[in-house]
Amino acid sequence: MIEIWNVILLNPIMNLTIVLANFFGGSFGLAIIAITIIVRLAMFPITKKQLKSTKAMHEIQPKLKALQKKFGGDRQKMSAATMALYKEHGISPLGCVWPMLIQLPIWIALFQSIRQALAATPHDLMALSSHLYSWGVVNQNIPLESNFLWLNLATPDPYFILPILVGITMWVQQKMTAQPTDDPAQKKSNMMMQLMFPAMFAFITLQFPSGLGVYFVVSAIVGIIMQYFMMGWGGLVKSKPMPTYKQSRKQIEESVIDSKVEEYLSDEDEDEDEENGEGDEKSSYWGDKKVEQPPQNQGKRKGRKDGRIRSRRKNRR
Amino acid sequence: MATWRRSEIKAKLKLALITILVLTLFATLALTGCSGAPKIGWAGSLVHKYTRQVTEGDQQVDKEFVSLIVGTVDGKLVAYDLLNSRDTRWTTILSNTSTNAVMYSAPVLSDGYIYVGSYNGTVYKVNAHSGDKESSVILDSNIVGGVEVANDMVYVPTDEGVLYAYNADNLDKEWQYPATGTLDDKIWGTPVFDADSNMIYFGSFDKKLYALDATSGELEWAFETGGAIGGKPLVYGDNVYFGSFDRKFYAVDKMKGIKAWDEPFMAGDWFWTEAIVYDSTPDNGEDDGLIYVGSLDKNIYSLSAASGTLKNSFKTSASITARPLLAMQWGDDEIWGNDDDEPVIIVASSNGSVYGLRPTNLSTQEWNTLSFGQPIQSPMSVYETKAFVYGNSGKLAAINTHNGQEASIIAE
Repeated sequence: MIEIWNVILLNPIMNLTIVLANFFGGSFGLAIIAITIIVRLAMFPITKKQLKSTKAMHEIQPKLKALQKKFGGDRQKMSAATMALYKEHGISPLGCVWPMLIQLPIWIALFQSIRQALAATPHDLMALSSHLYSWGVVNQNIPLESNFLWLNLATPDPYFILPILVGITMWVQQKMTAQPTDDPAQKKSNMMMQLMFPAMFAFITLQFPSGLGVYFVVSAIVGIIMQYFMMGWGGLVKSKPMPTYKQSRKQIEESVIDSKVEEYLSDEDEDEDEENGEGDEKSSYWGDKKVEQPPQNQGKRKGRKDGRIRSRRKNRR
Repeated sequence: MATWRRSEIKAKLKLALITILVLTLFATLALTGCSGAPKIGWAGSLVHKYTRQVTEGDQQVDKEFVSLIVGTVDGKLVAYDLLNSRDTRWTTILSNTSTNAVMYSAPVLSDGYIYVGSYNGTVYKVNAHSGDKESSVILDSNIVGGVEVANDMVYVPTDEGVLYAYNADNLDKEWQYPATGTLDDKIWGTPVFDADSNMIYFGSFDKKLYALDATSGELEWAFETGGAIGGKPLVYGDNVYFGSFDRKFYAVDKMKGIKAWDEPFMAGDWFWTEAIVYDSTPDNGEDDGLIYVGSLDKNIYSLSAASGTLKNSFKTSASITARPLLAMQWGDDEIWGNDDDEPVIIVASSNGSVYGLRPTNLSTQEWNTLSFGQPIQSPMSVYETKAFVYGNSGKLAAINTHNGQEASIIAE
């Protein structure tokens, strides 16, 4: 298993990094920056999908909030409606996890290759020798030049500048990704995530060779740039206040009325509607706003559903 | 209901996956380790044979001692009595702190004292008879290469790229090279002193082999290769022999620093160990000696010392980083084996296999492979017809040089 890992991921990334170091005149620091950018760009399609999913999640927040208000503690209905909403907007609840899962092995291999290529101890150097291709350019560049800017890439940054940079860049990235919410529990959770992840990586950078810190910083900066062009500054700039309940409800009526959420919700009241069996006025599920009747050619089910809604509204009156 | 269940399951699955991601990240970090000091190393052993006056009854008599002194993987020096019980004679824990004095090179014996450098940056001087620590000197740099003791000096290579020379008696600094600043890279190779030229030779990770005046520390010459130099050079005849990470093995004129062979010998992987020489001219049929050197490509090569021509080779099952050993198969008072008095080349590979090979034809195994059970990276030592092999996990065994059998396990 380890052999497969080495052959498919670790060895190619490690050797490519060393070749890049040779290209940059032996600077392993520049090679780390280059390989990080190359890997992030190679995985852009996956990142793009992930960001799109995140963006869509942002957009449906008001609707989700409205659904929460509506269903309160009814977990079953809330889950079903949420799933329907996700489906309608093409969001998979696992959508942001799969890209991370795919990228994780590459991150780990990159992490390992940077650490092992620096070979701070004889054990590391011995391990490194087993990963190298027999290319002259690779062998002649070992050991790699470990000095880069103020850093010795093989040891932690003695001035703590790099851990601070890692913390800041990761915080910015986390903040840009964070989804606005009015839910205090969610807010607290977001806040924790925004602080925990940067703190965790800053702590790792304190302990590990600074070459890894360079990788963390560059990776975060590339992530911030990608995110900016896809989603703007996100949660980094002060967002518009969350819509009030009435506003959210209005949004739902305007944009979700024809959705499967509505369909699901109307189905929930089917029995009640059928008991009343009347109604010539179409209303939303929320029962307080008239909307235009849908065209006749929308299908029998649609018509039947609207009938149910109308009758329900009449009953409420 | 089905929809609710599915969504619930998905939500839980998402949580589980995120947890797995975080745990995997931490596991990876833990498995790949941190940049702190290593806790174990590989050092090696030496045999100390000496006579000392002891009191027996009312009389002072001369008594012979033979000790096997081992630098252990966890930073101790241990002396075993080789003459009698093989019991431990003394144990010295080198570091007084909680950090082990990890060693990556064998201790060196000179005038009844053992000198050894540790990764923690300290050079220790220990009484070889009692194990008492006599003195030490602390440097600002890790020490990976072994120290060389000669010319009344202790030569210490350092990770920062400086070679220090200390007075062997009181460990006062005599000189350093470079006199100011450092070389462009680490010195992990062990230096070697040559009395004939009064020079000290050492390789550096800056790809150069340096020759310094052993007394003054002035540079005599430097020879550049295509890769880092991590092993100890061998001085034999008029040349210095050494391997490099560029996969080449070089011979350089020891006085002038110019290449002695038309072309260096090329292997399939790095050279990271010291070579040895077998110069029994009538036996090897050469005008000059034969050089034996192991490579990380798993092979041990036999080369003509004069021309660098490959004579033969033997492929082991793993990379070779421990210096090979040349040993007699039989003692003077023992019955000779079938192959008369030809010695045996003992070579250990990093996966723990030990081989006994015929020097004049490496492809002939004198005895079958011994599976030691632990990786071997420490140089071996020999006393009479016993070779002492030290594994990376602390196993120390004596093996018979004529058949490769484990004669005794001294430590496990």
